[in-house]
Amino acid sequence: MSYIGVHLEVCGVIPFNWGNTSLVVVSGDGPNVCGHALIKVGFYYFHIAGLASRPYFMPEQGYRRYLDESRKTELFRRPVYLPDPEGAQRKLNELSVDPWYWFGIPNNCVSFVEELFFAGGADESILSNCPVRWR
Amino acid sequence: MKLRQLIFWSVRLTGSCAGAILGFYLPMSLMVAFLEIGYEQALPWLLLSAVVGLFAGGFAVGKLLRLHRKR
Repeated sequence: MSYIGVHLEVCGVIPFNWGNTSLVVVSGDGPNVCGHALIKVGFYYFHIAGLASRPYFMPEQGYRRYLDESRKTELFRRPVYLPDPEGAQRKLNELSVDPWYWFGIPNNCVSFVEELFFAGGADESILSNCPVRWR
Repeated sequence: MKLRQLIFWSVRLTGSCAGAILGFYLPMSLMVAFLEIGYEQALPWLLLSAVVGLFAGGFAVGKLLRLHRKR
């Protein structure tokens, strides 16, 4: 199995640089034409990738390794302003504890990123749940 | 198209949709046992299972309706 990051251990968490937050969308595997969404906070990338597993995070080198091993390409990234960084940090801590259940159209990689955006006070969402259209 | 035929195909279509949904979500509940499996690795199999469910659902409902009509 290719590298997808490591789980965030809440106990040792430090506040991330939410002032530098971006939405990152990479290409999907096989029949996934919608791509895959990640959130970049400072130097770290967060995403969900399992059917029922806790969210993963990775630093910049880890992200390069993830792209390389999964044969993915970055489609685009764009900065997103979060007016409430503490809210986003709290939400990230909360989401890191429990497994994230992937249910296809609901509760997917987009929903994870959306939840963090909403918690951070950004009104960023996409109705189609297809991250490639989230430019 | 007669009303009866229209109802038959509508019910059959509903059966196909139900079959596709079951075909997608039932194997997912089994795959949850493999906690670390990536959803992108599971997606082709889930879609394949959904397609099988689509046809199986339509076929099963069609068969049931024909049996019901014969009675």
